[in-house]
Amino acid sequence: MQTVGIGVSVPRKESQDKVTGIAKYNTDYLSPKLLYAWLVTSLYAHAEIKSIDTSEALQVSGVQAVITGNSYNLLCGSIIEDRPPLAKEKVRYFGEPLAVVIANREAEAKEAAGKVKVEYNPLPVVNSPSAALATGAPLLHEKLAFYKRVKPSEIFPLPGTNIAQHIKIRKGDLEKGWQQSEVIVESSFSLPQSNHIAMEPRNAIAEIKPDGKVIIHTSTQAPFDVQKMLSLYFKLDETQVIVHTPLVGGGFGGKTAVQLEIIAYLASQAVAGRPVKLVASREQDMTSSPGHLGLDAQVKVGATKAGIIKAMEITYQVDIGAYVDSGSQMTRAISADCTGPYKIDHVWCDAYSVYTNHTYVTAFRGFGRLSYVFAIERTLDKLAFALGMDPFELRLKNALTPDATTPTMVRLNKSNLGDLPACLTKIKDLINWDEGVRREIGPKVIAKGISCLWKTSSSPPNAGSGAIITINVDGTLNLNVGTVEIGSGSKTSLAQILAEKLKMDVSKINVVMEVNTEISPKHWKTVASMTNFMVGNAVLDAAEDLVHQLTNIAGIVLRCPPEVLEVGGGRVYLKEDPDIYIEIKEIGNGYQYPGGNSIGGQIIGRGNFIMQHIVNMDKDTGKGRLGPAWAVGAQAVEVAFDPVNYTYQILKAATVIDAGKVLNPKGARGVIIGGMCMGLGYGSREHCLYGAGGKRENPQLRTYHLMRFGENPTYLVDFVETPHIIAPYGLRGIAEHGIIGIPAALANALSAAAQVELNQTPLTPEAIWRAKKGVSQ
Amino acid sequence: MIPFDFEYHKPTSLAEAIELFAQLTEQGKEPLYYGGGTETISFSRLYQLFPRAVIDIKGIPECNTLAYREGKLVIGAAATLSQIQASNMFPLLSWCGGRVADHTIRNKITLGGNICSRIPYREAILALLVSDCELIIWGQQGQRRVPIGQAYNQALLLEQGELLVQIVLDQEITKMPFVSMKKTADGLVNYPQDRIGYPVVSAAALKKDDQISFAFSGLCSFPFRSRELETLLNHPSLSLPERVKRAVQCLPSNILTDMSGSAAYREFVWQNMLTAMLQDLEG
Repeated sequence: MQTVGIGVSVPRKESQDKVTGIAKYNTDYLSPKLLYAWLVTSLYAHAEIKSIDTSEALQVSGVQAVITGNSYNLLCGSIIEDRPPLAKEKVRYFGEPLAVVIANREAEAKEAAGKVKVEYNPLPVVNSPSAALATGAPLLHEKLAFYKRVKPSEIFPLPGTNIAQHIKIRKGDLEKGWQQSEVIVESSFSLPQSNHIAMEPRNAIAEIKPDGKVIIHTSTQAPFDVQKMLSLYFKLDETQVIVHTPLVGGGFGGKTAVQLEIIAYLASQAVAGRPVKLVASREQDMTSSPGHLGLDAQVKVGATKAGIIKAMEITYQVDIGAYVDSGSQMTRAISADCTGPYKIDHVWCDAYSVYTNHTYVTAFRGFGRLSYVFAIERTLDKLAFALGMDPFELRLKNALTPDATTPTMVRLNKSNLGDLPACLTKIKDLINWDEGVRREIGPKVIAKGISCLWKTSSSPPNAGSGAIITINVDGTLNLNVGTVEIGSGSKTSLAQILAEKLKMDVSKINVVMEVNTEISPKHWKTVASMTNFMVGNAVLDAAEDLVHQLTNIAGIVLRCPPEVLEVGGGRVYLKEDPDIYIEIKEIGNGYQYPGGNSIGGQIIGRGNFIMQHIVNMDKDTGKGRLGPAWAVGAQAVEVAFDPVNYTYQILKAATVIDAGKVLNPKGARGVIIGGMCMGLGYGSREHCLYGAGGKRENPQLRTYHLMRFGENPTYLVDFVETPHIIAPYGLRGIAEHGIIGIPAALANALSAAAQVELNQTPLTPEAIWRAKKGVSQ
Repeated sequence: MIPFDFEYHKPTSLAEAIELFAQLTEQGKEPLYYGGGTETISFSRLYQLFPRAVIDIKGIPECNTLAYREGKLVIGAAATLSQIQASNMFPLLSWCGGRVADHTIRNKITLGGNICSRIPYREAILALLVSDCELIIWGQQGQRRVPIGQAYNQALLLEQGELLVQIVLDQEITKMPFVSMKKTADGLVNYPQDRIGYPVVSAAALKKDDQISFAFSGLCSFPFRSRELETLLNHPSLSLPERVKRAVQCLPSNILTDMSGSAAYREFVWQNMLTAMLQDLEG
């Protein structure tokens, strides 16, 4: 009997389709009935819309309709409703959608979009968080006080300002902490917004059928959220909205936002419900659809001479751009983990979501952590320097351990935290830390930097998942779950969880790839590295149910009580004598006695999971619990630096993470490496460059650079396995985590190499040169 | 996607191409000659270029030459940067052209297209500027053959309707010692290419009869070769640091500031690059 379940490097079930190019993504589905939409987007970052003249656009052949924001009285947002689907009265960021052309062909729609004439009255532009918070700053949202707060216990805007969210963490007694501190260091940081750059730009198709059914095909990480939001905005029953999502060509959080689906719906409405396809161009994907947050941070930390951290005072100003979307939630998530994974008794953190005239933001791999971790880990290196202590030792000395409390005062234990000291010890060997932080070798300087990371999820307290298992006549299984395959291999991992539970070959388990809200069991969203935990638990629950039903029928056939039976290898057998068995395929769809009589019927295993013990953060102190558990880890980067030209090569990037249990070793290594590669890209070069008037200067891959294959360093990955006892097989979510500490580790390595404090990204040679020269921008 | 309709013509002779250009111009179609088309697509899809007609020159035999002829290397304007790189008939040109864009795009970008580009960097021209080549240009009056020093000043000097057909240079030039370097905002670009991006500074230097000729891209808003600068850099009695220090006084215009780098940083990169190149070629 071949048992292939967890701990085995199973190739992804969709791999062959992907590598042969036959895998279908959302826009690969064509239909002769389709109409095409093209966005008209703002050329100003902040301006009144004086007029929109669509007459010339309507003359273009093939054009069916042109819609503008003025026709709608709708505000969107999952936390606070502050965003019109198409700009109305004024635009608040460069690239903001303000009209849509619908035509027979995409080329016609695009041509006509160029002929929509918009007259603007430019307004003063808020181009950074500090400008937004300055006295007398122009307001982005004059009506902030009147916006509907969808989640009133999670967002606390300050009307009359550009502050959409203020989260406070008050732990211990900060004064006491400073008194206990013998060494105090402070630093300021500025990290720009960036883009997700999923290979597949965002897109959606909407159709409103004569019977009122709304059919959406979209590339999303959150099909059930699309269903919920559209029902809410357009006052439809949820049964009327059906959302289909096939394979998604990368999300990285960018496809959690519900945006193009709403616009596609409005477009379909304008053409009597005909199906309309809206595909963002790369430039639109980079400017019109939400990106990754920016962060300004100030960190002050105090420690004893022995290197025990006593106090930390932090201000985070999150550049959420023009609308909230999930910016306020990331601000909350950053606050909850605000200190990094360190034992600190006295913590004071104020975190703000700040409106600016930049593209608004949504979830991004790590949900904001990589930015604040940069600030904390750079400050820790500064502290280590001030103490004359090895940066590794400082981290090991202060690493969180069971029985400590988090900034939001959650009591930690081995299960919900994992083992950070073990990760640190392992990475020390992996990166050859003992060689020294900085070595001069010939004309080069070889330097290393480290960073710790931790992350919990931040789901709604009632986030849930379901799973359904059916049995085919040949004994193979179908697993149907509501998670989207966004490239992390989650569908395969779930098949592995089921295979392990039923002790059967994973190749005999078919996982339904497409999500269809009409028939797929619900899953909150494919986000937060929570799929294996949440859906995995639902799969195990469904497997239990399946086993219960199988053993009941088998007991009748084998003439024994179900309790003495076990399921494995595609059979139900007697625990004490596996030679007495019946094949699953004989009972999965009813058992037929030799005489023809039948019993049973189709067996359908169903299971579910709902989050437990999530507690919203207290408005005044931050006390609360956002997620069920953390994953902790340590990361390191080694660079070869040229001290004459300030150029550098990244030699190694390393991660050791407490995965709880590694389900698929090569798959896990792959997602960690992918995360590290993104982190190196963000740390070294990626940024949204906004010009003086808030105009986006680099909205193209010609000028917005990503890591290329030839530049990848040697990647080193290792794991620690401390089980999270309420998770399937003890696993922890790790899909996002590879990115989190890498920009910080890179900055620490380069700061050591160049012997200058590098507190901004991107860490280009020019940025290092400027820091060395003390030249300001 | 190009959001407007346009005519596509593919002539098979130079005469036909020149005639087409004249006709289409007369019809108000603002025609463009093109080779690879990457730039025509890039700008047209963003509404920054509106040709009503394009003339594909890849069907013209003369434009596709890549051969040695009677002691000369002849390169057609429609030869792609990849073909030139693979043939390696002129290693310095392989270096300069081989760091433009990425491999897939270089399979499309032609030599003529690169040096006539609207994007200011046009790195392939660096190898041509230092090699004293000649350009074969066709127009209404037929062929003219012009030394590059006369045909290029900040941009290729073409009359309306003229077409760059071929580049011709002495074969011996292709064997001279050279150095070529490029830095992008992300760092040094090695060859074969490992980084992609527009240059902070891209440079080519060629040594002939103990004189080194230099050309630079990225430093100013156009690629250039400057005799004044070369006289200084080849000065027999000034020390290397002194020559590098004075070099900035011989530039043809202000140093460029754009998103790849500030002027002050470009100057720093350029001076380091000059030092490295002079050290290399002066041994």
